[in-house]
Amino acid sequence: MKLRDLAIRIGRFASERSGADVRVRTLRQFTVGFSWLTYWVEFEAPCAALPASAMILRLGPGNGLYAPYSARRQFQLLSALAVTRVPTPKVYWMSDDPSLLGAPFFFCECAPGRAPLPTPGESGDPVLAHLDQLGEQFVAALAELHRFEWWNAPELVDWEAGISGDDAALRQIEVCADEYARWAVRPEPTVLWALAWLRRHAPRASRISVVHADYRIGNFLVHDGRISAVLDWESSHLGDPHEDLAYAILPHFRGRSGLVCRLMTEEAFLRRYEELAGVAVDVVCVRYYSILSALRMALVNLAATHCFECTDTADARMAALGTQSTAALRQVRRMIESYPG
Amino acid sequence: MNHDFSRLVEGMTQTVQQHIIPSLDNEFARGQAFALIYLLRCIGARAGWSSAYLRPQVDVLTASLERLQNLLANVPDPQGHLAVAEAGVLPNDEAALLERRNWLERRLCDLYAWVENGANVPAGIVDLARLIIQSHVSELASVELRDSVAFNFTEISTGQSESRTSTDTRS
Repeated sequence: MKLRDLAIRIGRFASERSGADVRVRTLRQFTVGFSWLTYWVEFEAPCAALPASAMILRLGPGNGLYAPYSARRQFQLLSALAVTRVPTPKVYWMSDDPSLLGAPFFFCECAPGRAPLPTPGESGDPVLAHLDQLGEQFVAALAELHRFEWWNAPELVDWEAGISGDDAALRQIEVCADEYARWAVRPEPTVLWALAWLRRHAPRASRISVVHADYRIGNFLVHDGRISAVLDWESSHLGDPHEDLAYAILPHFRGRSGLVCRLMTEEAFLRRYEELAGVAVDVVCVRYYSILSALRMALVNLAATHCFECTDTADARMAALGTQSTAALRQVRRMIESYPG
Repeated sequence: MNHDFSRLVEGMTQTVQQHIIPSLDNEFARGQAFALIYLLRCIGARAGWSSAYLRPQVDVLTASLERLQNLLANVPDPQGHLAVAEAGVLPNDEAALLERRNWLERRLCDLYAWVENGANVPAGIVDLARLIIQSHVSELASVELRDSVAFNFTEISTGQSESRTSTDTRS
């Protein structure tokens, strides 16, 4: 959809929600991100009926990487987390009705700051200036998320019904199996082999928490030396919190620094998490979920190939991302071969 | 890199048409982009994955499938999963090689899935089947990644040329 048409639709939607005559002054699309489309929306005049005069719009396109999208779960979770100390953007509106803006969407706060990259070298890199405090905040936000009493949140009442420590890992393996069935354009024996291994070695979860499932550098904003917002909650689910620890420590996000998300050593990261979360970390469980996380990342490459070959997308980034599936699956195999269990 | 070749080339022309040309305000640059579209279509009309690229994959797949089939030769198979028509003589032309590769791949995965998902295969045989697959994926990855090109993820995701002066090397 052309930006001009989208702006008109946004104005119509905001008018209907606010009861006022609202128009869009500026609509700009951000280039980052391979999945949801992200726009900055500024409304023409401050209006008391609007929650903010500028917002972020996230749209899940029909030919996107993980299509079909739904904004519901992200909106539910961000609404629930608004009462916690986990830094998240406020959410305003959502709909999964594609007739409104052309695709499922939600509007949220335009949190200040910029997202540091997983790789170093960009001008004004906020990580270099605020390394120690960002590391502390990174761990603290994760510990806070995992301590959140999701069972008391009415927004999450229908999340992962019946989940227990016995099946937390198995549920995520089945998510992977579903994703493989959905996205594989060609058979991938490594995926079948890895899924079988994961099923045989699935650990029991000692506790169930909200899991971000994409918690890493690149998915939080930094403003004046503080993490102002954690982003990209689309993969969140209830599960074993070791999954988030395992994902954050993946080598993919160390940017050649050797540090977890370029912030701190792995030992310091896990030790500080234990202190803040008040629980011991099971390192074998972390290694297990590292393998599952690596498999999920490889499945993203399959999703990219599927997106390019089976939808009407002209996004060459999908074709490029898809070429990495062999290397990503090789990494999964190597991690399984070196598993300590 | 095993995309569908025709779709890859056509997709690239669409990328240039839909995402690059509209953002170019320089006529000379747009002309260059239109020339790229034409050249890509020329390539698409005449080229495909080469036999030099496909043949090693076919060789690895053929050997792995044979090992797996031999392992399972005496396993009871009332539903006839093992009884499949032979692939036949190895073809020479690229299109047939591609078809053969795809057939071998499907066959190998179908057999392995049958072993894993309740085929009443003895545990010792299942373990050996897993080792065959493990060895297979290792060999195939070596073949597929032999001529790989460095992936410029940062440039692709940010649209900016990657800095050559990385400063964050603390560990």
